[in-house]
Amino acid sequence: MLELRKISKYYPTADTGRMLQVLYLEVLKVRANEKVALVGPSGSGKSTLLNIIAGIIRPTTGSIKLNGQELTGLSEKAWDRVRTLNIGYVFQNFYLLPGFSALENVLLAMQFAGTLMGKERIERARELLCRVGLEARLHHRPHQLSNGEQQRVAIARALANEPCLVMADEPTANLDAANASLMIELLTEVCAEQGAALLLSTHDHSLLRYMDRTVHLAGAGTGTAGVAGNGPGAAGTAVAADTGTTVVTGAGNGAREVRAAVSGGAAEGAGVASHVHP
Amino acid sequence: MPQFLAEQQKGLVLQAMSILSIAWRNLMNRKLQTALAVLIISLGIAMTLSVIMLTSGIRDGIAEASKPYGMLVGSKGSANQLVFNTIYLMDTPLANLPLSYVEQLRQDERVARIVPFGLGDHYRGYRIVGTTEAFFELRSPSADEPYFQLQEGRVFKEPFEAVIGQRAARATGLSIGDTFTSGHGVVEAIEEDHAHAAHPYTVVGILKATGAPADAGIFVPISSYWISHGQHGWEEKWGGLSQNGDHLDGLIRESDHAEAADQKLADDMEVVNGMQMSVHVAQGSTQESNHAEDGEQDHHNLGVSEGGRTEADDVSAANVQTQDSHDEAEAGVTALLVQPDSYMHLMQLYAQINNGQTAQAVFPGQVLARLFDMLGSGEQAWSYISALILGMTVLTILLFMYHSTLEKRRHMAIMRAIGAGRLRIFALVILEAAWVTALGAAAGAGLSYVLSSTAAWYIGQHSTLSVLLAFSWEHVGLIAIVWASGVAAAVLPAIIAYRTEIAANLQLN
Repeated sequence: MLELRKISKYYPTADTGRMLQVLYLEVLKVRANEKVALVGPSGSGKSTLLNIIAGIIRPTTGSIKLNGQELTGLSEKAWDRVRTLNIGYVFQNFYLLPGFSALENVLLAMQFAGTLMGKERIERARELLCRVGLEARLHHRPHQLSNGEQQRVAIARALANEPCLVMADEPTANLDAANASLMIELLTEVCAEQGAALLLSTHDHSLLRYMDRTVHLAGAGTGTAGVAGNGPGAAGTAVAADTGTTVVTGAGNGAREVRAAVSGGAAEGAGVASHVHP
Repeated sequence: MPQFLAEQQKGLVLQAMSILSIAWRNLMNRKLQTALAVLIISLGIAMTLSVIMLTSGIRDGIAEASKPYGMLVGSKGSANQLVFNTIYLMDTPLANLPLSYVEQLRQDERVARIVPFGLGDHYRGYRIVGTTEAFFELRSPSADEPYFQLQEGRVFKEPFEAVIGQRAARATGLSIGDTFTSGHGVVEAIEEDHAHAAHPYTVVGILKATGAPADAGIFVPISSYWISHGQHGWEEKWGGLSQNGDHLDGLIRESDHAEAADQKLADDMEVVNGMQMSVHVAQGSTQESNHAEDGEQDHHNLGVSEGGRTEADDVSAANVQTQDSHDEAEAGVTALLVQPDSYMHLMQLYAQINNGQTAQAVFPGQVLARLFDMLGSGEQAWSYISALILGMTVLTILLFMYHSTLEKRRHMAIMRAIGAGRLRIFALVILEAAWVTALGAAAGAGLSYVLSSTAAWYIGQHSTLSVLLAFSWEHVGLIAIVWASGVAAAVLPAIIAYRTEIAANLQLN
């Protein structure tokens, strides 16, 4: 469903103006209904990767295919359209519109996408909010909601247009441990119910047991390597990918692991800092 | 209302109004700023509209009041004073025209109707106008009904009967059958003035409101003036008018063609007044041109002899003095409304009277045209100030939208992130400006109506002028221009909004 190849992102440094590589990903494939976690240290490019897939940031190089459609060549407007209709995004800071109620925040996403009309639209928004446990908070504005409730609204909004892919950036970063577990359970359940694949970034390794696969991003640059993460009871079998990405096919509970390696495919160790391109 | 229905309704509002409701909600999220912007816009529009409405209302009020009047004849002096004293019941009267002069005019074959006016007394500040029954038959050009209509009672028949204007009746509390005594002069004295206590007036009629200065007038037979002032000579000179004041309508020339001439002349006068108002013919130049025709005119002894002096001149000269000095003098009139039987005769009489040394003839429309011409420069200055105010109003909209856009960039970035295209963001800013300007325009229009009405009421209470406030497409056009300018002013902020980058504004880079 989603296929990324040779994705890189460079930014000019503020002082010298030289290009700094913040992300390089050889290959990443996410299948329909699959739950994939992106893990890695801060600065490894997890959020950047999600933003690139969403079309919010353009990659410097690489190819992104969603349901077979190449996205990188699309105009901004077309990519906006693809994001609106196919990708639901739960931002780390939720980014709810402050002047609008929970119901309206969900409705807005549908209005911008033009999905459903009239009562059907309202009914779906209500159903989604009820599904995430906010039936008593439909007309509350974001500042009247707790962090957890705001995140639930963000999840409902992400699912509003029945996307095939839901992405969540650090979905438990603002929650305590108990709520984090509830949230990830909710997220995986509703994605499964809606038939959407889930791709999330996290620092929280306790969440990985809910995921089908884990992709380790150790940072762009020479010698960056993915670290195999194990799902509960996973006994990985490494399968060489064509570009040097190592895919560990999970067994046991079906968890699989993808190792994203740097260009050249040499897995020389984790945690190497990003390097600066001249 | 059940919770579910309430939810449905709230959702439906957003759904039904779509982008308009989102723009509205964006404004409501900044209530204070929005309210201030609306207030500034409304004040700008209200000030401008009020000035326009009042200036045009005053013009219309003045012009409307002069409609039933044709050519006015009075003593030599200020034409403005003659018109304003006779029609608008303002200013002081000119010197009296002697009855001998009036009689000459009355005898003139070309004159179809004469309506005399005598002013100089008041009751509680409301001017007493001596006239005849013919006054109540005056019509606006092309009107079927007389301009002044009775609301109750009847027209006066005897001396010391009075028909009072609506406003005068309201203010003085006089009603049919009441009596009052007039004071001398044209303004109310500090102490109660009963200069003519020996000759009380009885109210016999009350006029319908006309919106004209006559609403503030008290109309009495002109013979009452002469009697109460002890003026003499009118009994002999005023044919058809008996000692007891009967036959006041003897001033109307008994002519078979008077009625037909009345209508024809009214039509002609409409043309003449219209031309005068638009072309702004200067009276001086008219007089000069008429002077050239002097030799060809049949003077009919209208105060012009070969020697250039007449009996009337002598009387007139004697009358160029203060109002008080008229007492115990020969009876006279302050002004005359003269209606000739044709347009040609009107112009002949106009020229003749002005070329004589006794009297002047003026067309109210001509005087008003000159007045409006003078006011025009002041109005021009007002129009520049109004344009400046409107310009500042539009700038306010620009500033408001600019700051609003800068403040809401993150908000817009979120909208972009959840699916709003750039054009939609652009449209949202434009629609917000459209809302703010529309609210300001609506509030401004309402405020201008309140301000203008209040000012019109105040002017009406403190003068005899009436301000005719009327709906005009010009006002709608002005509001539309301000609205369109406000929306246009939002284009720059809308472009800034259009360029909103999601990643930069949500710190996603």
